[in-house]
Amino acid sequence: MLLVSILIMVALILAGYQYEKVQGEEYQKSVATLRSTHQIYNNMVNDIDLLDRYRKLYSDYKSAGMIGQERRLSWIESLESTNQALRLPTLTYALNPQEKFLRPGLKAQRGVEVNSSPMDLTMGLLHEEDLFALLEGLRLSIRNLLTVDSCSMTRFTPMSSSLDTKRANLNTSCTIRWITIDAK
Amino acid sequence: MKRVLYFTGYRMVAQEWMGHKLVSSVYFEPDEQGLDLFSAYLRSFRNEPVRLLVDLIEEEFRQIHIPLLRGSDRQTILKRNYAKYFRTSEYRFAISQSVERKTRKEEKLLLIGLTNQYLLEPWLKIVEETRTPLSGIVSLPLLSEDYVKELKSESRAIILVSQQVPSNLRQSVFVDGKLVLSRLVPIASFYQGDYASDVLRDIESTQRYLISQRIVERSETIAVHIITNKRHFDKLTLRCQKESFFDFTIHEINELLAREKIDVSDEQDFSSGLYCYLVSKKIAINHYAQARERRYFMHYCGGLALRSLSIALLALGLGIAMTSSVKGLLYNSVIAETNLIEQKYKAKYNQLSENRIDSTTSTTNMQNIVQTVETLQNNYLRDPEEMLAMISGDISIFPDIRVKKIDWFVADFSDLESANEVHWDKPKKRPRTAGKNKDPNVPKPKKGYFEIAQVEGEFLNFDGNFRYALSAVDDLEKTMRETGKYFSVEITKRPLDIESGNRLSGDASGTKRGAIERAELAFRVVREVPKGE
Repeated sequence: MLLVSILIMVALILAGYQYEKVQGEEYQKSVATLRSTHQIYNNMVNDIDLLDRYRKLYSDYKSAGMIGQERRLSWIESLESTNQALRLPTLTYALNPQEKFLRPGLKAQRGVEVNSSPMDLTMGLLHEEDLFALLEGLRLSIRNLLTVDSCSMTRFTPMSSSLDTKRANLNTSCTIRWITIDAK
Repeated sequence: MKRVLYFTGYRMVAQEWMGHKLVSSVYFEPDEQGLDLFSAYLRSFRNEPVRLLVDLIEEEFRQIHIPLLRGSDRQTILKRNYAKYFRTSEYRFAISQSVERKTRKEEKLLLIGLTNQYLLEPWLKIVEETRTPLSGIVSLPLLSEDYVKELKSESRAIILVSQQVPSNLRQSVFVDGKLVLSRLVPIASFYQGDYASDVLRDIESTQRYLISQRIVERSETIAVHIITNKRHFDKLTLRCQKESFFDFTIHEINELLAREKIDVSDEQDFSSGLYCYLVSKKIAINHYAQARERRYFMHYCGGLALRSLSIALLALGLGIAMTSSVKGLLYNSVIAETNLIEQKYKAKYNQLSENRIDSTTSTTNMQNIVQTVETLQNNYLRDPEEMLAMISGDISIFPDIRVKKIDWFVADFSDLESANEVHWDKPKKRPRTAGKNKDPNVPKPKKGYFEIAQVEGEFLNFDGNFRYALSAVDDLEKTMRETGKYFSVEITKRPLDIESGNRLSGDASGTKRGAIERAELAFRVVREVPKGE
């Protein structure tokens, strides 16, 4: 009887253990599936939040030309239109090939490439304020990212005489950069 | 069901007790037929344990003192005493009653033994033949010790008088609740004669014996509890009232049984029912039975233990299996709930997916691009206006000074001298400028993001007063430094180079007085581009 009891006990324990094990494995699988579904759902919710937050800005930047292909023609047109208002005695430009935009501490985000095209400007200015007016005019006429690398202003009229209002008094050469952003 | 065999010295009584109730009582005479019936009776409930209660005249009681010992030494002394008092009997028993401290510690023992074991032999033989599990052979006087504890008495000595058979009167003497001796004396007047007087005479005889043996003092009052039947109760009560020397208590057996809630169907004349009930209540009790007589009982106990173990194992197995099953079922229910939640998530996900505007650019890329634009706008879009306005503000304090050239540029090192030296990607060989400038006020060159302006100017309407011009330049430098707006301010050219290490020449004759003299100056200011502006 004892032997039979032991056998029955072992059989019961094994059966119970097996059942528990199978159900436990099913449970683990189910929990893992739920976790991954939850993760996917969470990602989707986060995506939608991010999308809501960044979509409008992205669209604005893209329509303005900050993102994507360079709009060199638009830049030149902006330069010309700005000068039409300023009427600088001389204004020449030279747009150089596009290159990577590098600055200390600037690390491009993953999947993003920051490029810039240097533009050399040579101007004859009546007054130094003309330079700032030109840069401001460019910024207002086109919503592009624009930065100045260098500017050199030299007065060629004598220091003792006052500025001539009919011709250029300052020779100025600047290098500006038009920055564009591309998604890799 | 508890089975009790009760042996009176003549016939055997077999009783079956269920709790407080006597279920059956069967008598077996000591003749051939009776023994056969007894054998048949035992065979009918084979493998059920019985206990044998003996109430015999041939039972002796000895109180002895032995040194307080343990183990084999004690056993040796006991054997010696058994041999001394119960030489011919195998049925003997010793019970420890107290430990007394005299010159040495002594144990007070009561030795009891059956002096005529042959009376039991035919019955025990049948028990043996039928393989009946005999749990024990119990001495009735010793059993009554337990009952005496229930009789509350102020006296130290108690005589319990009871009658189990018509022919014999049992008197058991207890001192301090411990059995001292017991006598079974013949009495002829149970059915006919002056029973009360005979009982009292026997009690007085016992008293005399106790006094003679110095078990009680002569003056000591002895409590006497007489268990009798309804027929003798009144006579005994009347008779005992006349005796003042004893403290009598008369118990009517049927009332006593009723008080103890012992259910016996017929009216009882004797106390045997009480003692059989008492022995049926004991879980394990044995006074006389030898190991060989109890072996079937031991087998029975072993079988019982194995059965219990089997049941326990089955219960354990069932318990573990049930626990596992419950866990499995819980898992199952959690799985169902999990699936339900998963379905809900999927439904919500599908709903969100439908509402989501499709885009070729991933959200992460959009986020990265927008953040990059914000970083550029905040930190990297520079123009010269702000710095030139600052410089202009500082120079305006000195109305004699006019600016004729400004070179402004952004740089990654503070000591670069022109825009051409700027290499935004890591330069293979950085121009070494350290040590070039010996001005202790100029900070050491460092890497970073700087706006640098190199300004050239001259003094307007200069009259040749270099002392004044030099002083004005020093003041300009000091003023610009003190504003704290610049990383460094450095005068690169003064109206007159008066440094000890340089050559200085001029015309001091005064013949050139009136010729136009110029006082030129140049300085270099460096400003660290503020972050997050």
